[in-house]
Amino acid sequence: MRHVYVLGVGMVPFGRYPNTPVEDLGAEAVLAALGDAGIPATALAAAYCGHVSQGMTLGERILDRAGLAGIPTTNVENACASSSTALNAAWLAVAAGQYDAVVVMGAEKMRRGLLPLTRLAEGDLEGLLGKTIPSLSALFASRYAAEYGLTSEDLAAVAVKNSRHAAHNPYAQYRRPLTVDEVLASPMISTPLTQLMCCPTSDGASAVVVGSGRYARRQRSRAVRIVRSHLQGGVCIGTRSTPNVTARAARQAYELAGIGPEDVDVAEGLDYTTMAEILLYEDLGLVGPGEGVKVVRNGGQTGRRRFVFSPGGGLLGRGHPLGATGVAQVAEIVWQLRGEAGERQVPGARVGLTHAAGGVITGVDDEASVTVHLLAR
Amino acid sequence: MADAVIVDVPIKEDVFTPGDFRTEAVSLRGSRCSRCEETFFPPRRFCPRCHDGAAMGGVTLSRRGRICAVTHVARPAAAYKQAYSLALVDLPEGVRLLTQVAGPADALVLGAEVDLVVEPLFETPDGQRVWGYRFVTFDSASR
Repeated sequence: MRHVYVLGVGMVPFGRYPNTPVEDLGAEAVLAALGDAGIPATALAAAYCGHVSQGMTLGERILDRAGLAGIPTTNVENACASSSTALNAAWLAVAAGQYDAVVVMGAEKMRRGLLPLTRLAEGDLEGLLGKTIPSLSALFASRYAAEYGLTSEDLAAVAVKNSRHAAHNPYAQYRRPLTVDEVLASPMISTPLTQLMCCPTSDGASAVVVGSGRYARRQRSRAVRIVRSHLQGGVCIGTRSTPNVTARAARQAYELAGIGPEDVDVAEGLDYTTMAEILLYEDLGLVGPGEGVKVVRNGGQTGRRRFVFSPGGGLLGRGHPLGATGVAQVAEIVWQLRGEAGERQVPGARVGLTHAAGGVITGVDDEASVTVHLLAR
Repeated sequence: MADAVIVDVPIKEDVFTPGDFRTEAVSLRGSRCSRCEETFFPPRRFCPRCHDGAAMGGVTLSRRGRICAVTHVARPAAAYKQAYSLALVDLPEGVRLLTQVAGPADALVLGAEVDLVVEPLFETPDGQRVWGYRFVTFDSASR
């Protein structure tokens, strides 16, 4: 397998674009990534596009709008892990020697309000019973509180931290720093989670150009290597217990990459609620079981070391246009590892991780699919 | 104009044991794999442990379970007009299912025993009354 590098990244600021077609959002991100890579358009040998519900052949429609049509294009749907799964396919094609430079894009325009689970997955039993995405996370909070202790202030603190990160991110949807009181006073969604502890719906697009050493050599120290791209599927194991699919995927990715959780300086994960972020600290192996809430209380400190989670503001701050999130997470980590993250730069960041999880299926304990990417400069 | 005709439908075809779910005390139906002895809900044809359907059969699930996680959903899913509570409920068969729960707020706590009630959950815009299930706290079930 050949080494695979991120040659360029680009995105449009996440937010609301009522008058801009999704193709235009995607084209802007793709052209930004291509410009950042500094390679000619003719160098792109293939394209991969992730989205959830933007209709057929979105990738081709975006390429057409960007003047880049006429290359092999694959569209990928894996719920919130759509564009990160597209990146997994691109990574494999470059690693296998099929292509030297490809573009991966994610784009989505969303309706406001709760995700309509019973429309996204026809006839889903738990959706019909009233399950919503925030309420699922709220049930995990109920369990966590019973096992390890957890307060509403802990859950609010994560939102405050991520709003502080997002305030310095020009691509973030919400850039106003929040206070604990404000987060607690926002409307209750599903106890104990308030609105400001849950991610918004968003419009947006993101893109990365990945390639082989043939192009990365010209970038010298600026090239960031995707040491491993890993995709894993969820399963029914009977009891909604650990290890869940995120924990399995992370453990496998660390082993395949020869990188341990103790090496990770910066991470972006599918923190769709503040509870989800706390669980990710543990499931990604950054801390042990029950220690996630201690990280919150210690301001990111785990005792022996410090890692920064959601440097770009996470899903709460940056926004969450479903199909665009996975690649946007990678863009943020690339900026961090290059030292180009401006006021939100994590000093000396050398190893980064991204995690995306997509889909909830009745009767399956895990999310449907999870991706983990490990990147290093 | 005549009154709209309401049609009673189950929330899912295979989740209740045989009988008229509107008038009889039906239970929830799961699947059990006699090879690995794991029980599943909702029912499935193939065992995800054994990757095989040969040893799978239907099983009637207990009507009493225990709350293992609970949340009050203030912002309900689109089909619902009012807030409700959701829980993960553990059944003696080893099944942990997501369900609505009802009862006094101070009784909907972890460890509380709850009983199955089959009842309408919501009506669709095209006139279907959807029958599902809730688990209710022991005291309110025997009211």
